[in-house]
Amino acid sequence: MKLNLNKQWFEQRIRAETCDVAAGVSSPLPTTSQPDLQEIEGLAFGRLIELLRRAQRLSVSALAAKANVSVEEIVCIEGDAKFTLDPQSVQRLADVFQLPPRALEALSSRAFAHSPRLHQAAVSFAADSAKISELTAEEQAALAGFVKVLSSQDG
Amino acid sequence: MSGNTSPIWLFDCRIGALAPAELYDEILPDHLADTELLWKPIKDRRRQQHRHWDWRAKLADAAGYLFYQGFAVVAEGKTQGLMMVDRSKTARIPVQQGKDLVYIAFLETAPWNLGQQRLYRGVGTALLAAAIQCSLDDGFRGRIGLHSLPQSEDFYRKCSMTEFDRDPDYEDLIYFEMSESRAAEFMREIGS
Repeated sequence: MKLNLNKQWFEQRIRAETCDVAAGVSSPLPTTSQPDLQEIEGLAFGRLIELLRRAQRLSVSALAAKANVSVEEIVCIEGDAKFTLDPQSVQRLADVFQLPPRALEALSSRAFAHSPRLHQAAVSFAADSAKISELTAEEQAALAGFVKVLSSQDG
Repeated sequence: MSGNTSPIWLFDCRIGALAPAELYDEILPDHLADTELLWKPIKDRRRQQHRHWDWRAKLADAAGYLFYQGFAVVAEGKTQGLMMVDRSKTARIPVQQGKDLVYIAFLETAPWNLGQQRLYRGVGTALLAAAIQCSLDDGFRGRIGLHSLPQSEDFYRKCSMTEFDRDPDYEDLIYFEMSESRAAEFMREIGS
């Protein structure tokens, strides 16, 4: 890049610079985010609950009723990797799925980062459990219905 | 120092006249060394607002991203100011909303160029012109944007940049943007 401005240009423009000049926020550049290890564990926790629920052919509402947690919480567990469930609810989910409560709570609270082996297992599970199969009829209907609602909001 | 340079002028407050300087279109190791060996001790002593800006870290963060570009102003063999621009942002002014612009992610002048006892005036002006030229070269027609530190808001107002509300996503700093027409006016040749 070449800047071609003459001496007169600087002479005149510099007159406006009567105060200190600076710009930018103090935080780092925004495009350098690294994989969030804790978020991966949150994702693994959500996938685990979803697959266990589906393995038992439970709807979200049915699981919520069975575990005595709210439907919103189940939706957040399965869909929001940053959502953190309270320990009592984790305990009840562990009871429903007959899992060791401490291990499930460790995963839920992103405590696997302290153990490379468990963390790697969580990463592998999150990766391997990503769906590649075709959508079921129920998933297709739910997807079409939600897209329709979103489309009706446009304009 | 190597790198692509353009001749510019700064106002030397010690002699009350313009003095020659150079604009680099990249930030080189020598510039970083100046920020660490010359700038930092003064900034630490003065507890300046942007004393925590670590240019070496910023440059490392930007490495590999083609939309970042660094600039440096040098006079008397010392780095007088640095700027990092981001060419991945879009405009907010309604008439140019959504169009690409050059966003000034960071702009800082050497600590001896701040306040009433400054040595050089015009570092900010030169870097602003460099951002506009960068925008013109990229086909963005001179559109630039930035978030101003509080002490610099008057400067950007004097440059006729459009002022937005404080931006909660950017540490409550005011966002300023320059339109295509204002950029053309800012860069217009003066004299002969």
